[in-house]
Amino acid sequence: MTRRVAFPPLGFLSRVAETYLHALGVETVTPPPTSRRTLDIGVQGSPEMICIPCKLLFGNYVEAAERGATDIVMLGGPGTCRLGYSVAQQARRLQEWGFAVRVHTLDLYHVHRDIFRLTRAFADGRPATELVEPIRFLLALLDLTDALETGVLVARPRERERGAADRAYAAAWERIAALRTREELEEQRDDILGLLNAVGLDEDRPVLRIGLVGDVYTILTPFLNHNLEVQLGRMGVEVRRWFRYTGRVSLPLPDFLRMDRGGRARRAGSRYLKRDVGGFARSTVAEAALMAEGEVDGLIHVAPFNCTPETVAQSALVALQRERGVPVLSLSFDEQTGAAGVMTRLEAFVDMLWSARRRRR
Amino acid sequence: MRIGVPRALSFYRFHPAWAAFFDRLGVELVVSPPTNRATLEAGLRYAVAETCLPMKLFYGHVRALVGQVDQLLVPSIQRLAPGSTNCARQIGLPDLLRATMPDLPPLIAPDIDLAQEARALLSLVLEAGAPFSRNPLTLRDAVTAAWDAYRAARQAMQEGRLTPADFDRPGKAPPWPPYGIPVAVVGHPYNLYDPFINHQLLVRLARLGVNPLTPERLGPQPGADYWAFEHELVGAARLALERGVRGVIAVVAFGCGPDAVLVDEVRQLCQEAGVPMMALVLDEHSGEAGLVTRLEAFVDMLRWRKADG
Repeated sequence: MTRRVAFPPLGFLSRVAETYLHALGVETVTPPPTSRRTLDIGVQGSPEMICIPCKLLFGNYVEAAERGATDIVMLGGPGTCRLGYSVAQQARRLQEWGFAVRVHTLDLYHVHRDIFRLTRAFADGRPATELVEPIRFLLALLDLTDALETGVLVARPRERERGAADRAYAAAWERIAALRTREELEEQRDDILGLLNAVGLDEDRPVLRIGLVGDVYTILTPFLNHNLEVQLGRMGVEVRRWFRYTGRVSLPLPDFLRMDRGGRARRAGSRYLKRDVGGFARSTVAEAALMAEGEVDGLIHVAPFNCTPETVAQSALVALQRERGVPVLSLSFDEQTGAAGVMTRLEAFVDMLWSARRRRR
Repeated sequence: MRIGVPRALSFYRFHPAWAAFFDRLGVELVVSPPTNRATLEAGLRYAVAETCLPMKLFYGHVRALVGQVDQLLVPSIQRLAPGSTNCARQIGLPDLLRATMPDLPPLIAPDIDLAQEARALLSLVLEAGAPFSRNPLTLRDAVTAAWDAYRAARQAMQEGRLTPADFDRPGKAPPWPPYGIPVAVVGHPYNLYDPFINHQLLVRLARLGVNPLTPERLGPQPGADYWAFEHELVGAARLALERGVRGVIAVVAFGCGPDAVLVDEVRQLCQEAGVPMMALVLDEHSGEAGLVTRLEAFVDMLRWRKADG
C-alpha cells in the first residue's frame, strides 16, 4: 500500500509541508479546511476542558483519516504545553475509533531535528546524501513563502480594489504548489512575487501598523479567529505577525551575544518574561517587546481560551502596556466566540489607535 | 529581615523545606493568613480573568503580605524529574507576579528544576541562600536541613501524622479518622488542603463517613511522566484502585491546563476498574450547596453499591 501522508491544515505551513512532500515524491492527502464539522468531531473525541486547538486538531486528524491518509503528522512534543501530552491521547483515540493510521509527531520544540527525522522516515531508505537537495528546496520554499506572507499583509490595507491582494495571493500559491525543485523555484521566484507586486496599491494611503502576537495555531486558523488578518487588512491595518522565517539559522549563542532579531527580542522581552513557560509565550512576549519599541501602533494578542502559556504571556503584556504605553488588545477564542463581538472590538481598537496617532502629531 | 511566604500553590508541597532552610540562615518566615473571602477579592483585582482559581488566590495571598514583609519567596517550580514539565503558570510565577504588581517587595525567586539537580542547587544557593549567609558551611547545612525536612514531612504525611494545611503549625492532628469508606481524593495539594477553595471538602467527607485517601497519604509514585505533578495525580488514582478504594474523587480547578487532560485518564482508569468516579471542578463561582448535594449523593451511591454486594 502506498503511503499517503496528511498534515493538519495550518495556513501556509501545511501548504509548504505538502509541496515539500511532493518534491520528496510522497503522496499526500489534504484534509478539508477546519470547519464546524471539524469542531464537532473534535469536541466528541477530546476531554471537555481542553483548549480548542487540541479539539480542532483532533477533528483535523479524523477528517484526514476519512480521506484515506495512512500517515498523519501530529503536532506536539514534550515541554511545549498540553498539546505535547494530548497527542498521545489523540493517537490512542484514533485507534479506538477504528482508524488504522500511523502517527508521526512533529515536536514543536525541535522542529529542525524532526523535519529531518520525518524526511528520512518518508524517504523510505534513501541515503541521507540524497536528502540534502530536498531540504535545500524546503529552506528556499520557506524563504519564498515568507516573502509572500509578508507581502500580502502589506498589500491588503493599501489595495485600490478590494480583494485584489487576496486574489494575487491565491494565484501565487497555485504556482508555488506546482514547484518541485530548487531550480524551478529560483527561476519562478520573481514571477510569483511579481503577481503580488502587480496589485494596484495606493502608496500614500495612511495605514496603521499592528503587531499580531500569541498562539500560532490561532493566528493561522481563520475559522477560529474569524478571519482576523483579512478583517484588519480591510480596516486599513498592516498586520505584522510575530513569527517569521528569516532565512537564517542563528548560531547557538547565549542571548546577550546574539545580534540577530531573535536575540534582540529575547533581551527586550526578558524584562517581562524571563523563563520559558511552554507554548509560544516567551517568544510572543519577546517579539511584542521589540515591536513596542516604535515598530507598531498597537499590539493584538490572540490565544485560545484557557491556553495556559498564553495567559502567562497576557499578564506579561499587561506590564508591557503599562511601562511602554503601547496599546494591547487581548482576544481569546473558543467555540462560543461570536464574529460580531470580535469585529466590534477590532473596530473600537483601530479607532482608538487612529486617535492616539493624531494626538501624537 | 522578614520573608513573606504566600499560603498558596507550592506552599502546600515545599513549605517544610523552606522553613528548615531559612531557619538555619536565621531568617524569619511570615506565612500569609489562611484563605478567606478578602484573599479572593484582593486576588481578583490583579489576576487576568482567564486564569485558574488557585492562581487568583495566590495573588490574594501576596497582597496580604505586601507591606508586612521585606522580601517575598516565590520559587519557580520547573520540573520534578527529567522528561516532565510543570504548569506554565508555576514555571513563570515570579515573572507573572512582577508583571502584575508594580509595588512588590524584592522577590527571592530560585529556579527549582530537579531534572538538573546541580543547576537547581546552584540557583537555590545563589538566589535564596547567598543574600543571607556567605558561609559555605552554613549554606550546606541549610540545604541539607531543607532536604531532610522535606523528606520527613512526606513521611509524616504518608503515616497520617501531618497534612499540608498544617505545615506552619506542626503537631495538629489530621482532620479525618482513619476508618470509613475508603475513597481516593486526588488533586493538587493546593486544591485539597485549602478549605476555602474546596468548601471544606475533606472535613465534609470525613463527616459523611468517608476515609479520604489523598495522594500524600497514598505515598510516593514510581517515576514521573509528562507533568510531574499530574502524573502523581494519575499515579495516586492507580495506586488507590490497586488498594481497593470504593470510589475516586478528582478535584481540579477550572482552567487548569494539565488537569483537563488528566481527569480523562483518571476517568478511564476508573471505568476499567469498575469504580465510581466523580470530578469536582472548582472556580470562584462554585456554590457550597451544590457541592454538598453532590458529595452526599456520591457517598449514598457508594453505600448502596456495597449493600447490593
